[in-house]
Amino acid sequence: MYGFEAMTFNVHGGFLEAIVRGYRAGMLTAADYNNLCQCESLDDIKLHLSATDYGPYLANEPSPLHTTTIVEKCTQKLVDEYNFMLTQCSEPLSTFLEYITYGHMIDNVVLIVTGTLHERDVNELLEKCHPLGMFDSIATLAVAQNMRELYRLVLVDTPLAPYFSECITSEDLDDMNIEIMRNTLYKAYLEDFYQFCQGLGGATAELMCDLLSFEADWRSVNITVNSIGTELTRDDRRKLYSNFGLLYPYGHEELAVTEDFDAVRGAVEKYPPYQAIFSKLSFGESQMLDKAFYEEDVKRLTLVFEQQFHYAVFFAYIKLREQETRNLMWIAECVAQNQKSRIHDGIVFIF
Amino acid sequence: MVEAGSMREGTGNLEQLDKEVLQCLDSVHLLLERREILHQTLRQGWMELTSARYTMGPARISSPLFSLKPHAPSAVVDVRGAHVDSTEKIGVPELEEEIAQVVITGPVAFHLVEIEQDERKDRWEIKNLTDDSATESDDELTIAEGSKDTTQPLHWFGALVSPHLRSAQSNFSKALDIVVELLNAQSEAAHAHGNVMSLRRAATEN
Repeated sequence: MYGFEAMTFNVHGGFLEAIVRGYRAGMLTAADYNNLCQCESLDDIKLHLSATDYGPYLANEPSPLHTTTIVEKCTQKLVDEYNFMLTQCSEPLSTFLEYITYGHMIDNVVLIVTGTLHERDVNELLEKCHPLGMFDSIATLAVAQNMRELYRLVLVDTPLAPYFSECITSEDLDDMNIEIMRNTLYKAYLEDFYQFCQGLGGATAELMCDLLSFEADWRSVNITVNSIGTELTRDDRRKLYSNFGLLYPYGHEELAVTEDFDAVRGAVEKYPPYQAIFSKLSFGESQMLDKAFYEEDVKRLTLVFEQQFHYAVFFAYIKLREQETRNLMWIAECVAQNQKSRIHDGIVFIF
Repeated sequence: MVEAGSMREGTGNLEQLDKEVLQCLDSVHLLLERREILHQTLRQGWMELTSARYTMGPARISSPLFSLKPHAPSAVVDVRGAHVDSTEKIGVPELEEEIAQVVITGPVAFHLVEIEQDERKDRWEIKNLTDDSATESDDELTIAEGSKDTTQPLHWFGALVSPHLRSAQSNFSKALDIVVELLNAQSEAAHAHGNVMSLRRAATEN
């Protein structure tokens, strides 16, 4: 049940909700994407983007442009907007905004550890880290040999510390252990975020719990599909699924034992929201699964803006901007590789 | 009689020339076909890699994640100089040195072999000097299968990667095989062209 958010929300959150709705109005439309799809080179893309909110970020980039540069500048814009909102907000919105970055923090930790395992230079790895997931002692991750050291030396003072309780071992870090660590941390993070949003109550709880449940289910399907044919055992796979969501617990029991894509489809199609997703795919086709899930995700995120006086708009805005960055990356890669026939395979229209 | 004999010889040379020209055209056709297949395979591979970056994120698939650790290759072919009395040239036409011994090493097996070409120059005899067994082979050299301990590049990007990345890897592996076929086709085409030119010169002189 909702509280009286309409009476009190604007006291602390009104300004930033207006800001984020203004940012949302600057997102690319279908007309923008149609123009971008007709570009012949990356410089054409830069020319079209100069008339959008990305203009100031790409204006000073020299030619020839690279796709990685476009992605970096789009990400930089998002980071600048996020930092502005974070510096303007008060509790509990500030904690909510920080929660959004913990996923990137986990990805950065895994990137540094994986790169160090492969004997790469730490500075090179730090350049590839997502700016939203940076923290002060991140470079010290390179000295850890196992998860216990990782926790004791570095992560105990970070927001990820509470999530390590389920994956602290003294085993040396290898590719599979790192992957299990990544997914275990993310599972703990999602469950913690879910409980935090439930604690906030009102429209925030209702909308965020729905969005996080979808994300948890999507991760379960992704883990299952990606682990088919690998050394990951059924028990280990089952342990990586989150303890909430539409697929919890019976869907997870079925997913844990699937060995091919059609079995995954059979396990998930029983749930009406996901039946719509799989109906877009033919039997045996797994290539377009990611795009189908992204489309459903974007649909849910855009509906969040139909309601007022809740924090889910901030979460939705960041996720939609990330999708926009993915769209631009896809368009730029298709143009650079001269594969314009595939350009619409990766674009998820937002508005 | 002498004129009839030289006419028969000329006709024979022309038939041989026709045969070599057809062989040359077939080789060139195969070469062009392989180039087109390689081009398509690489395009598909790059597109799958882009799809993988779209799904997994650009930071998870990038060059800083390539492993710099040394790892054993699946096989090593060491081509050495001749150790036999015969000075007959064998091996691929482009190589100037005489090849009489090829040392083939893999992570688990070591074979010392000797390669001899027969008179027709279109078959190889591989004699395994380590155990004196001899096996005849057609125009390909069989290399010992590599150890399972060789590095799997897919694992550089994580143990649970997108099917798009696996598909990209299989496309690039297939492209490597096609490159070998393409080089062989190129070598055959050059060899056939050389034969045609020498037969033409001989026909002109006659």
